[in-house]
Amino acid sequence: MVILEFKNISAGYGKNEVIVDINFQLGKGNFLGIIGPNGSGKSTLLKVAARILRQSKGYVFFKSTDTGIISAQDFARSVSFLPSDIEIAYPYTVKELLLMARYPFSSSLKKASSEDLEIIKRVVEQMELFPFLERTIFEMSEGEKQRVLLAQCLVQEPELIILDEPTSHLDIGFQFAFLDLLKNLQNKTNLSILTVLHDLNLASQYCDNLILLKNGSVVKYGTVFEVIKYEIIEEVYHTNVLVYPHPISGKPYVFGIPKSWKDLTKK
Amino acid sequence: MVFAFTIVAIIAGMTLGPEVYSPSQLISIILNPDTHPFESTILFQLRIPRLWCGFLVGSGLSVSGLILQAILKNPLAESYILGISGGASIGIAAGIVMGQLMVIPVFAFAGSALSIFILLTAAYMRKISAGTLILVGIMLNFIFSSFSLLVITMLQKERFMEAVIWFMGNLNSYHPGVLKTAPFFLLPAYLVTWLFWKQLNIFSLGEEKAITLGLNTEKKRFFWLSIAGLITGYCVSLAGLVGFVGLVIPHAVRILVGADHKKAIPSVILVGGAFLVLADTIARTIVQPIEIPVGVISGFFGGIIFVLILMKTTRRQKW
Repeated sequence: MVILEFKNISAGYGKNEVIVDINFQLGKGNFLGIIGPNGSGKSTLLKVAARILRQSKGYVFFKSTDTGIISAQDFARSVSFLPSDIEIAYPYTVKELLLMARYPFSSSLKKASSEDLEIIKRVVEQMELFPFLERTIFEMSEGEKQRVLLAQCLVQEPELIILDEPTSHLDIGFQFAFLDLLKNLQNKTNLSILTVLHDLNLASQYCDNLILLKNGSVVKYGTVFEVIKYEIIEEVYHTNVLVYPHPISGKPYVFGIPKSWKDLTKK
Repeated sequence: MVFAFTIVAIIAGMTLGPEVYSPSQLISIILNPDTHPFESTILFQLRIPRLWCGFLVGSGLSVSGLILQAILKNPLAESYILGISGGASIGIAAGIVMGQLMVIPVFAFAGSALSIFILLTAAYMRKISAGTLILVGIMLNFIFSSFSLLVITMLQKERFMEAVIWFMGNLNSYHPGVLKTAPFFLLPAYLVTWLFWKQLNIFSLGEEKAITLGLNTEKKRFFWLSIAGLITGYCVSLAGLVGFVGLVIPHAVRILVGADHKKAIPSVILVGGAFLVLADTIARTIVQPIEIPVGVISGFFGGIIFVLILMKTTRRQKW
């Protein structure tokens, strides 16, 4: 089953079109990564998918329904979004943040139901957040914070989760821990994942399929083996690279080559 | 703690003044007003209405500050920064030029309504971000304040003083008619704010997160800006430009009870009201028989207290 489909999507800000004529399908339970150089339109694509930005042309379908006719509340019951660099401005506790994510399931005036609390309890156990519940978000490290924000997305019980560079501020330990969590969710609960990733190697190791963007258009869309090839990467990123299989997974791994080395080999 | 502070402030407001009553005197005045005709007149005609006025203004400014800080996701937002006070100051200046007492509050209200209207139009027409909205507000404030300062420098001396006192904020020149109608407007506005506390929580996560949690941020921002603007307009028409309260009380309350708006809204109403009552009590009594505008006191003591709180908590909090 196709959970999210972009059909001839163009979008931008004002008259500027940042992405042009984008087409792709995200299958249920699939892990789709979006990669590309800075300013290639990755975040714009995600904003259209999350219905934050309205496309200027084309259609987005969620489970074969045009998202233009789904109410924001209904959409929020199936899709959650983790923005990049989310900065919580006020000292909310973890528990308060998790409760907020049940907003689409109740009205403004209703109290949290026992079902809400049940779901939160389950997510807290799953994400091992129990010791943090009463702590404020200001008292947590970047890695812990990101885990809380992912938990907040999961409290929405999404079928699809959309993430914008979720690992960019994390050290290597937290990067792998975070993506392991996502991978685990994909395998166990058949969660569909659409994420922008900056790091090509993380994208290659964790994603099933990749979309490579350049100047707002799709350069290559396919499996990680089809997209992470040295000739494609070199052309899009204007740099020399080597691509070798990862010794354990066999997935393509990109090695950068400093310019001075190239001069050495020429001599 | 919040309740205790409120009660202390109210008792202080009733007992202190040029005539100091002890709490036991106070009780006997309230219970047998006929045996203390002079004291009961002071209490019921002067102190209690003024205390009530101070409470409403303090709580109103704090609630609107809390709303704006949430919907703009900016801890520095308050109605005075967003140009609402600038609009009000034009109204005040115009009212003083016309020279009628009743005109000033009406014009002050109209002035703040005008600046809210401009702000809303800007937000609606260009779909600007929260940060840009704050910048527009600050610019509005500069334009309006410059213009109203120009107007008052051309006034005669006594008129000029009157204008300055309004600009500093004081609880001495409120219009009794305005005070009478205020609760019918302000208390329902507080209630609505509290009922929809969840929306403020969601808004304060930032626009992108709020949209993806199913909140129609464009519509709701319009709604909340209107509520905050009207509350501020009412407060300004009662007491002039009492600055500082709207910025600091929400911060202090977040430290006391946490950021969750379910608890923060009622606490802000009580603490904000009590704070201004206390500030006014000091303003009335500190250099008798002169009365200092309450805005001066609230800014001075509030600022010192706030810096002390900040120094104690910066290890955990960031702003």
